[in-house]
Amino acid sequence: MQPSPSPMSVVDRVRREVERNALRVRNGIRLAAGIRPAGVGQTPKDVVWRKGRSELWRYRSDHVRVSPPLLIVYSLFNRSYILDLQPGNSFVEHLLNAGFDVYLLDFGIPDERDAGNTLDDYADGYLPAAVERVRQVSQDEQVNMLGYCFGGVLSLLYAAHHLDAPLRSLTALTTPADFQRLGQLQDLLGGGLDIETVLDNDGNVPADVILQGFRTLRPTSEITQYVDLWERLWSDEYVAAYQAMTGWATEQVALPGGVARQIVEMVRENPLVTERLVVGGDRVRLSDITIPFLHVLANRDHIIPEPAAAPLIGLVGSPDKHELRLDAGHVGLLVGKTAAKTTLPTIIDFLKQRSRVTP
Amino acid sequence: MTDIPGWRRAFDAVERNVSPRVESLVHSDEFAQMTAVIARTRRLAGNQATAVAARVWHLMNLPAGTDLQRLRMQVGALDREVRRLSLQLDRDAREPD
Repeated sequence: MQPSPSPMSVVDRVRREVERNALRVRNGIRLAAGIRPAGVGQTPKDVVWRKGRSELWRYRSDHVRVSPPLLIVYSLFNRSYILDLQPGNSFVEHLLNAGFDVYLLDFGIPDERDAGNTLDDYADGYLPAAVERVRQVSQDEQVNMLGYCFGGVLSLLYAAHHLDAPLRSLTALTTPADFQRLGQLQDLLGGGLDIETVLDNDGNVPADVILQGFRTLRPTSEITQYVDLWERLWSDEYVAAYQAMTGWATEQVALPGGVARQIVEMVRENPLVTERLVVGGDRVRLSDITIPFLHVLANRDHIIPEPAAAPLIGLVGSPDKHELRLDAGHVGLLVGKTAAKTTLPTIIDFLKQRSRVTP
Repeated sequence: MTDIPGWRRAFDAVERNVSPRVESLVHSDEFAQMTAVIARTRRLAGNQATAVAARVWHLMNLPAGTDLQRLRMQVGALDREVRRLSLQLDRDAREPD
């Protein structure tokens, strides 16, 4: 039988709940009024190159100690500021503090001018140009590359089609390899979907269609988020993080129609696994990639499930290749405690061991 | 041990029960087919409406929204070709003679 709570602990709990309810009211009013905390993507940066809607950013740092520079290739889904969410909770900030010269290739918000883009445009166009620009600006012969999610796919296509690329290493974060083990995403894309029926007048898959598609992966998650928010509405820190995260999760971007068609084809043909991938008219194989390689994947990733990401380490041909599996979700790899305690230290250590570090 | 309020425990119990059923429904073939039918129907209705509007504008010798859309797509394709050529030229300029 449990002991009865002491009168003081009951009083303390009541007092705490009264205080929390007052804070809930205050934060609730702020949320309803649209009062936002400090914005996202705050780390100072400069645009060093642009082409179309794509931009290459160089983050400012006075204490670069590691070379070659690090080029992060973002995905074609969502906005890239998840990598620089908030001061103190920023993937980019951690890398800068570790002494890296950090660049990020952001593909912007596609419009009708991007509808015809294919994976070739990225693997053979944007990525090589960005790598060259990084070399020019940093005055370094080589570049470390890191791709997140579909940015990892683009990075792999680039590395596999440009075997003489000036890459010192390649890191992929939660990147799919087996497109027929994407779970619900595979059912959505491969189950006889006629992609032409979801393209808008610009020739792209609209952002709201992509958002609804991701929402079907966990249809009740939005309600659970509101319940979580109500429970923690008294916490300024939680509310700020909630606003940043939900803002990002709902801020989808359109997907070029050309890329969408190819992704549906990839789900049907599974070319990375079957080595039938064609880039720029050439058949490419991940097994031809021999530069040092690290893949970080998340065991609780509901967007890129573990079975879809797991084969990647076996497909890449590098003799110096490593895999890190974390008990985290798709975004948990990048933000929060897991990122700070495990993801980032592992990546930093991997990169530094294969880079020049000045004391 | 975390102090979880009673209302939250009740919600979690309901959510554990309901979520798998909702996911099962949303991920079913029937739901996917229904979504596809709705998308096709909306597209068909939209196409018919724009076709009627286009006939009206053309009767007045004015461009319709579909004409402008076609132009935008053509300009978009041209923009892409220029971009690709520009990137190709940059690439060729970097290669040693």
